[in-house]
Amino acid sequence: MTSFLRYLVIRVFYFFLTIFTAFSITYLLLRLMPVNAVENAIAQITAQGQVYDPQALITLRRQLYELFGLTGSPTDQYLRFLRSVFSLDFGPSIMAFPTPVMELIHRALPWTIGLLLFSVIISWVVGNILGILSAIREGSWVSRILQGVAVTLHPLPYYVFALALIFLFAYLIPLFPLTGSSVYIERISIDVIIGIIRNATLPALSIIIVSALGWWFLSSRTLTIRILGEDYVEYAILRGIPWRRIYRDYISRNIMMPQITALGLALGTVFSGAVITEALFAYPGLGILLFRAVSTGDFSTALGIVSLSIYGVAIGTLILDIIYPLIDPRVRHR
Amino acid sequence: MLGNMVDWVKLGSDVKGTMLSKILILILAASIFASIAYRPITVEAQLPLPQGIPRGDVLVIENHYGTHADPENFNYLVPGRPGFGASGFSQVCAGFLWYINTTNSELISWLAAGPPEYSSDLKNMKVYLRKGITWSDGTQFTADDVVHHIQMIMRTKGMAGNPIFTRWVDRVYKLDDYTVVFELKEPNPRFHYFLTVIIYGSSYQAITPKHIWEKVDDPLKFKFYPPLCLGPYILKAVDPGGNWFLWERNENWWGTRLYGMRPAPKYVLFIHHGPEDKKALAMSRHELDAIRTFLPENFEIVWKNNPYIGGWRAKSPFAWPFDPCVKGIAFNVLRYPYNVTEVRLALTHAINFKPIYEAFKGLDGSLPTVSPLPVVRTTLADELYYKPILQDLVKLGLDPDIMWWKYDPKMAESLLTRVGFTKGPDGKWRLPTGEKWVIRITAPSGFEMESQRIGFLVADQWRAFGIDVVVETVESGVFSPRWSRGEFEVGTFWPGCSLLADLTPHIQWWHSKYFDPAAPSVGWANYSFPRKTEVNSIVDEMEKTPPGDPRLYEHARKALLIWAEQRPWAGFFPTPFYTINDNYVWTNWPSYPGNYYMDPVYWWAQMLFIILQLKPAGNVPTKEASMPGKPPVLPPEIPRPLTPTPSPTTPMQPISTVTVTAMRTIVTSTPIPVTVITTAQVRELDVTTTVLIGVALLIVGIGIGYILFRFLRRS
Repeated sequence: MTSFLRYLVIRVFYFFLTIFTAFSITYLLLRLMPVNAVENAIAQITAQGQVYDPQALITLRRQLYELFGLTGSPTDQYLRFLRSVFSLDFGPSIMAFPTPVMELIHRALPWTIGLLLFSVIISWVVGNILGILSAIREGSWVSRILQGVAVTLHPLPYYVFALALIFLFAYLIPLFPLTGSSVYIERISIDVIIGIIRNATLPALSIIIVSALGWWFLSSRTLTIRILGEDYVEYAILRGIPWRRIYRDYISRNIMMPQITALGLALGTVFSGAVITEALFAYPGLGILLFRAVSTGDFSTALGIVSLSIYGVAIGTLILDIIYPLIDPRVRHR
Repeated sequence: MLGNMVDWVKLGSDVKGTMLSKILILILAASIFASIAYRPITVEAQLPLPQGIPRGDVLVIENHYGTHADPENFNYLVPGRPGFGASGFSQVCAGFLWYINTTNSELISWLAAGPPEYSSDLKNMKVYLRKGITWSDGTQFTADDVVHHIQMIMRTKGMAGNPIFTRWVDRVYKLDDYTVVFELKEPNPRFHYFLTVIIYGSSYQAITPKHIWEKVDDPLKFKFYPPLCLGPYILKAVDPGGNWFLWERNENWWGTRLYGMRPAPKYVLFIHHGPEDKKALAMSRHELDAIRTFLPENFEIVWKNNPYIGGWRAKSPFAWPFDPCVKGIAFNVLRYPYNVTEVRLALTHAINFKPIYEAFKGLDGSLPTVSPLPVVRTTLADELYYKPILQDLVKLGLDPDIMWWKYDPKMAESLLTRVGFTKGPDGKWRLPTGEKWVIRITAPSGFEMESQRIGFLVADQWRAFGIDVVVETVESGVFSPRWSRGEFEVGTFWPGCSLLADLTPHIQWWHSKYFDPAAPSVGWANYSFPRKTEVNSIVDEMEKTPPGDPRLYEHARKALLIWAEQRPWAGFFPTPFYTINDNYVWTNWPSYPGNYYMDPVYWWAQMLFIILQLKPAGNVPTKEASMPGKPPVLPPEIPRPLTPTPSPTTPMQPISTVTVTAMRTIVTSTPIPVTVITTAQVRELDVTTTVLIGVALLIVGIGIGYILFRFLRRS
């Protein structure tokens, strides 16, 4: 128990250290970017050719710097930033001034979680099942076909696959809408729910198919094949232990360890969204919000979203670190 | 679960009813085929519309901004808030005092009853408002709204328009419910331009309702949701994800009641489909009626798949050739060696314009409008500016055959050697200091792709001339501050735009008094050269001269000639804008020359005039769409004082004040014939494609079934 407590304390310490380091690096990177929110705002006016008094433009520039809070020394801004990441209050956004950053994130978050959470979990489940079955039937037609598909899909950028899905199922055979949020919601009803699912299907499929038949399939298949070749498995087979028990007690637990670790890390990155998927499908999630925030110089919003991602990954890792000793006796013994 | 699946796999051969599984597979394949065979090409299937709304009732326009982060915020007075013309607010909801007709620069008086009246010292501007206008909640629109709007902006620092109105307006007040007076701090004969929609429209020009905004504590934090409208539509629904905005026709609109105008579409949907490729697919499927612009590659997709498209012309060439902004190469004239006039002239004459021009010729034959001066060479501009100074331009090096600067590498060489440049043994040009001359062109990336292409084309030409050139493409977030701060040597962007015949608002920034050291940009305002004082004087004169005065054009010509001598940037042309519309659902789009009532500016506030004249095309079912009402041409209604009739017994009293005493406004209330086009809902069957796809999927389905069957048997 004492050793477990010690283990826990160390893990929690590393958790806070990771968070602090990640936030600081993020802050520095964003601040070093040559993007300026005020110039972007003024460019919106001038690039369209709008008639604007030149003297007034000079005044507007000064006013915007004050309005957006882009004043103060770098140290002041850094301390303000640290306060905000721990209080989760990032102030007003700049690109949607003065809407608070957290309001923008709350608006985009359900879309991202709804898409990515389910996509990641489904692709994990499907990929692992197919990988294990393929390993069991090593050499069969099905296994070979699945391998071929996986090896082909794995290096394929998911957005290329997404474009193919759009062309096939939103244009040629219009089973799905072209826009990612093409649902008219007057009140929640079965039709609306079906509409939301329809809207999310193509973006989800583009992620699921490539992930499931890509990384998850290949990794679980490889692990299963390796474990099937282990002495203890061979001994269990020779002893006549039923296959069900072999897979449950000897193989699956050894496969699931690394796969659950990878799942935990993948779930943590859900909060950063999937920029290209969201851009392609006009899906209003955190990814596209982050992209806009960075390109318009809205540091507050960008920091808010990245902070969520940092928290997600760090907390996911911490949880995994805590449950590992409970699952893996080797870790417990160490 | 895994264990059970393993058992199932291993014991699959014991599963009875292999015949059943064969049947199930065949049913699955047949279902796929059947669903594909019955593929309706209805055009309403994919749009976010309320139940039962047919496609024929809806006008679908591109939301060119994209996904709005906070779509329920309609307070566009917050500076930097994007999407003013993307959500539809400026086109169908907002109310403006005046618009400019883009085809002829004429002032359209809309909420204002006529043109503004200036006092003789140009320090007072009087605005008369139309009577009977109401907000969408039925409240009367009066001078109180205009006065409150201006005063609110003036007292709220940081609000859009605050710097303009605080700079110019001393006082604003009403004389009566329909007359507003602006007392200006300095004479300004074109102050009303700040309240006129010229290019795109500015948010502070849209008058706000006093009865709503006066209750607001902090106008910058107020969301104005749902917005109150003076336009013919009211907000019906907003996508919580920020991709679309649905507007519904206001059946109690003042325009209908007073002037017989009525837009035909029952709904207007502003929608973002995603990348431009998807917009092309949407338009090919008649799910998008109007778009701001396509890149030529995407235009080709639509052109090949949709025979109903139109553009600036009803038939090809489609591109709008008069986008107000001339694209080209801009030099940072505050940086060496681009601050040397001979260098700029040499670089201009080292460009062979013809291949660049040809590169922008569209597949449909669309050609760019060559504009060597910083004025788009429209027919009007040609008469006012180009033709009168053509001979002078030729003396400065213009080739009249192509209407651009002569391609003359020898002249370019002599200009460079004159100022100390040399050519090394490797054929590369060197600076007078002896180091190799490398030009860095900063070009946009991810936006304004035409400008990026110009950068690469020019770079090739300069390399052929013997200069090392590096093209750096940067995203908009980086490009904008660099451009603004003058952190570039040569850039491919446009230093200014022009639309009005009166060039004053477009070139007044050339005056050194408007130079902002924090944002020098191309630096032309602060560039020192012998005739700089002359440019400043010309601008001073133009600012004092009222619009329409012929002296303005003479002043502008002088300024343009001085510009041409110095050539701080080499504008090529406004790149052809593929502003495409789809005539499948709606027709009577403006087109040159036969129906040229407006330019195809769907993302500007002037889109209102197009919407008010569209008609249902009759190809799709409708329910509440109608034929449009009367054209949006409103009569001037400026009140005139009655002439007093002398009485034989009572001496006539002299009139000391001019007041509104009588006004006859003729309003015709004519019932609008509503033509409801009823067509049966036709589900078209694209037989050939459907059958082919169905057969292919059937084969694939049977194949998958067979493989699975074999797999199970082996197990």
